Amino acid sequence: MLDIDDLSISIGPHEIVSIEHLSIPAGRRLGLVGESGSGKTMTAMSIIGLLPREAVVTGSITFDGVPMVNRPERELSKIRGSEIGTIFQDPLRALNPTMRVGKQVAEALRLHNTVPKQQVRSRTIELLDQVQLPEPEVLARRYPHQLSGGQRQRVLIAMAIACDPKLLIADEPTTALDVTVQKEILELLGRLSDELGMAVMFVSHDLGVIQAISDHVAVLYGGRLAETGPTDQIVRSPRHRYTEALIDVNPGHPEDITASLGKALTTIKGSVPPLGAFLPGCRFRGRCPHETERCVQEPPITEMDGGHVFKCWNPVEVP
Amino acid sequence: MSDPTSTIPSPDADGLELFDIEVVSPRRRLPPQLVIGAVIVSAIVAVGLVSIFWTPYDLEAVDVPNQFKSPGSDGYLLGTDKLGRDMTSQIMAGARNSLLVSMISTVLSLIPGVLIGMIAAGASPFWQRIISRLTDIGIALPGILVALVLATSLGPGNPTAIIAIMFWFIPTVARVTMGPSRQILSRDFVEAARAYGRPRRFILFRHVLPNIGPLIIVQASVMFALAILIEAALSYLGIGAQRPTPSWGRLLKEAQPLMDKAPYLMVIPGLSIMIAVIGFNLLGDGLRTYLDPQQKAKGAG
Repeated sequence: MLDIDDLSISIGPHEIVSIEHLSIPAGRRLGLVGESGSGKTMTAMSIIGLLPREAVVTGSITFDGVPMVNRPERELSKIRGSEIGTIFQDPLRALNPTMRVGKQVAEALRLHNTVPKQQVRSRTIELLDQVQLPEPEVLARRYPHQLSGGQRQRVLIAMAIACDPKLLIADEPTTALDVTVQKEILELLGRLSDELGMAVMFVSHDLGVIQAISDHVAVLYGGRLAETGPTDQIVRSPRHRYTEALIDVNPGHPEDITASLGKALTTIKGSVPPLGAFLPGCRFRGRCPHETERCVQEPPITEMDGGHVFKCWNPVEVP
Repeated sequence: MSDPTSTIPSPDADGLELFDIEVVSPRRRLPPQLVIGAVIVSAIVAVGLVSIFWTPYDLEAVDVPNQFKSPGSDGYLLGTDKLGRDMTSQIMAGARNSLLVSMISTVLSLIPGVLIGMIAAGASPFWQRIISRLTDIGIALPGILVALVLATSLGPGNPTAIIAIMFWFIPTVARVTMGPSRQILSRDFVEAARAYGRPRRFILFRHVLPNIGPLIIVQASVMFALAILIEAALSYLGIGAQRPTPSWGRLLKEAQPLMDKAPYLMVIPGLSIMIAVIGFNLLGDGLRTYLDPQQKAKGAG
C-alpha cells in the first residue's frame, strides 16, 4: 500500500536520506529504527510532505497508488489526517494548550467531514473511549495540562484515528512516557491496528519497542537502509554489523536487570558523524569493528528469503 | 504555591486514582497593579459615560461674570476658564473624547497589525524579511511628523488624530506579533495540526491567535495609554480636536497663555492626562503579570 522507491532527501549540499526501497502492505506494521540523526523521522515525515521548507525530495513515494512526492500542499492536506494519521513524540507539545482536548479531537473529525455535524460530539466521546480513556465525557472537557502523559498520548491517538486512516505514522510515540505507560500505549496501538486494519509505520530508536509492535523492521543508519526484514528474523540473526551492534547494546530484559547492574554497558564506539562528514562507502565506517578494505565502496545489496535484505561487505556469519 | 495536583503521588501514571480528584488550577492572586489600574480605568470610563448624558453645566455656556473662578468656589468644582465655562464639564467630556479616540485607534491598529504580523510569521523567509524591513521603516518614521503631514492634507480633527495614531501603531503591533507568532508556528502542535490536514491559513486563526491572545491584550492596554498621550499631544499642537470638540490636550493648549493668571487651568487637564495614562499603564502591567505564561505553567504543575 505504501511504497518508497529511490527516495532521496537533501538539505543544501547534504543528502540526509537515501533509501532504495521500503514498503508497507495494507494492515501491516513496520518499525523504523535508528539513532538520532539517522533520518528516520525525516523519512516518515516525507510521506505526508511535512519537511522543512529547504528540504529537496526526489524519488517516489506511492500511497494507495497515489504519488506523494512534491504533491501540492492543498492535496496533501486532504490526505493528511483522513488517509494517513500521525502521532508525535511529545504529546504535551503536540496538543494546543489553549483548547480543551475534546474540542481538538472534534476538530480532527470536522476537518475531513467524516461524520455529520450532529454526530461529531458523540463520535468524539466514542473515540476517546476507544483509546481506553476512562470517563471520556469528563476528560473531553479538560485542557492538555490537566492530563497525564499517557492520557495525552491517548488523546493524540484518538485524533490520529478519527478519520479511520489506512496508515498511521507513529513518530517515537512512547519515548516521552514512563516505561509502564509505554507498554500500555504499545498494546493499544497494536490492538487498534488489528481492529481497524490500519497499517502502522512505527519510528523509534528502541529496538525492543519495535520488536514488541511490528512484524517488519527497517534499520536506518546515516540516512541509509542498513537492513530490513521480518523483525524476529533480524533480532534473532542480524546480518548487518550495525544491527548486530544495536542488539548488543541492549542491556537485556528487566529480569536480568540485577545481573546487569555493576557490569559495564556495551556501547557502539564513537557517535554518528555530523552531516557531510560521513566517509565514502559504507556509512558505518569508522565505528564498525569489522571494517575491511572493501568497505570504502558502496556496499552491495544482499537479498535473502522472507524479504530479509541487508547492505554489508562483511556481514555476520550465519551459523 | 499550593498545587492540588502535586499531592497525587505520580501524576504521570495512568492510574485511576487521578480521576477521583478534581484537577483545579489554583486561583492566582490578582497583582496590585491590576487592581489599582482597573479602578482608575473604570472611574475614567464611568466619568466619560456620564458626560454623554449629563455635565454640571453646558460645555459651551459662556458666563463671563463668572470667569476665572478658582476650583471649589461657588459650586464650580474645578473652576471656570476665561469665558466662565465650567472646567468640570469640560474635563468630563474630555475623558469621553480621549477614550473614544484611543479606543478607535487602538482597535483599528490592532486588527491590521496582528494580521500582518501573523501572516508575515507564516510567510516564506523572503517575505518575512520584506515585511520586517517595512515595519522597521514604519517604526522609524516620527509619528508627530506624519500627523503634521496628515493634518495639512486632511485638516485637523479627531479623524486626523486617529489616522495618525494608526500610522504610529500598526508597524509596532505587526512587529510585536511577528516574533511570538513565529515561535508558536514552530511548536509541535502546529506541525500536528498540519499532520491532521489543517491548511496553513486556518492554523493562524485556530492555533496562533489564541496562543498570542494574552500578549495582544497586554499590548492593547499599553497602546491605549500611549494613544491617550498622543491624542492629547496632537490636540495640544492643534492637529487633533478643535473647539467645540472637548479634549484634554486642547484645554492644555488654551491654558498656556494664561499660565500666570490661572495655573489651575493647565494643571487640571495635565493631571487628568497623567492619571489616565498611569491607570492604563498599571492595567497593562498588571495584566502582563497576571497572564504571564511562566506563572501559568507553574500553577498548572
